[in-house]
Amino acid sequence: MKDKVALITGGSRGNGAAIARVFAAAGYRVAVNYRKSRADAEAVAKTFGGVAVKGDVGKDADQLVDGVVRKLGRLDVLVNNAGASDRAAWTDDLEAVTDEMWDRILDTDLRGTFRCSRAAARVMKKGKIINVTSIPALTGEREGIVYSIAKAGVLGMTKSLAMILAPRIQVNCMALGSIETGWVEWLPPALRASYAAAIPVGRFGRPEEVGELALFLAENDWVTGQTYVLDGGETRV
Amino acid sequence: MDNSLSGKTALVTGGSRGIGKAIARALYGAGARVIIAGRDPKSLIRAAKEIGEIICVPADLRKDVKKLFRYVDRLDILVNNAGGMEHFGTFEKTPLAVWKRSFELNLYSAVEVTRAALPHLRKSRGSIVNIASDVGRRPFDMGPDYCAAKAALINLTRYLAAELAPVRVNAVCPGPVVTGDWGAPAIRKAAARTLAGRTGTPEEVAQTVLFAVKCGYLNGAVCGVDGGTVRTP
Repeated sequence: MKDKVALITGGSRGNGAAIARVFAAAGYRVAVNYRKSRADAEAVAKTFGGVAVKGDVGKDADQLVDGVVRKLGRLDVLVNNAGASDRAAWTDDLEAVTDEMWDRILDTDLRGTFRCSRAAARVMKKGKIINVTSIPALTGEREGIVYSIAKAGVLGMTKSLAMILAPRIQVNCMALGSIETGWVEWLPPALRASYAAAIPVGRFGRPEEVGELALFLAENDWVTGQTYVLDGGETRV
Repeated sequence: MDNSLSGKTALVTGGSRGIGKAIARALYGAGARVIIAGRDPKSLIRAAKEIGEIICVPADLRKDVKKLFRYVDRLDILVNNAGGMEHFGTFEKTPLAVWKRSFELNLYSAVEVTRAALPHLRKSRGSIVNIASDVGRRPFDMGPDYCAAKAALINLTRYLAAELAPVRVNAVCPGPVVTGDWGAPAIRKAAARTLAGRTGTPEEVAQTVLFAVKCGYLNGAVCGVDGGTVRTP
């Protein structure tokens, strides 16, 4: 187990950085992928002796995955965490949805997840692919329509990949609720408090808890094709 | 050794055999003080001999819940694992008496144990894991009474996840795990339904339960561990 390699896309901050730390603490050798935030990714990797690897998942997935195998010798776990949503995309105004926004988000969240998975499936002997989806993919959401479209795609992709890649590779996704990452800063304080109050456990989730779920999915050989909802009981779907 | 549940007390119903025993072993291995309840005293003692210093309470949950809770002084983790399929028939060959027995065994026992455990769990801000089944998510030929009872247990899990907060309530839905004497044809058929191409082990289910117990943001979740048999919510 101790020489297993995990690649975390979008690992420079937030959930990705926490997932990377949890895997490293469990004994994995971890590659922390970034697109632009080189310094952040290197800082994350440095805390546990991992490597930072550059690459845009929507464009350079093959090079990214091959580079990790060249550097670390193998690949056992891929966590498709990279996502491209931003504050501008968090809107309920349909007229504000631009083609640029559509392309950018779907390129990373959807095409990137597919391309990284395909590249990983080529090089993994046995392994795990863990995708990140989100509550809006299951329930819809007033804000962030492009995001919900991309994440609903990830949901379907997860199940299809689980079928195609069985029994060699287990493919699952994490449907995340409100986790304490960058997006929380977009919320006005009052809205933030009302969001937290609507969650049965009474708080937002911690990125480390996302890491725990990812690690569980990486270590159980009989869980595949599943969507694990991690939302403090907010949706109960 | 994992000591993450040190100082916690866990109750596993149906804990003397099969999946329940593996769950008890996993919780014990993580440092919890473990109480198992089961109908057959002999298998309780056998389980204790295998696992270690655990507390065994002979109890039929259809009538002995009060008696069981005389032995529970505190509680952080409740695993409603007791249940089973005693009848196997089509809808037309499943009389109401069988339905009632199935619901008593698979749903009402969990309701009664949860009710009795609640004062302890509220005090400890503990968590509940209900062991349902893949057929509770998507029914196939396991008998309508059993499928419906497990579906009800899943729905109850989601309901309680809101009402009992901050006590967390999650369901684990195992696929085919061979614990008794299934016979080769049944095992082959069950394995063929999975993507994994094999039946699961009690340990794989226990690992899922352990995760559900430990992860503080998991609530109202339905955790499939079934080799990919069911991929819908």
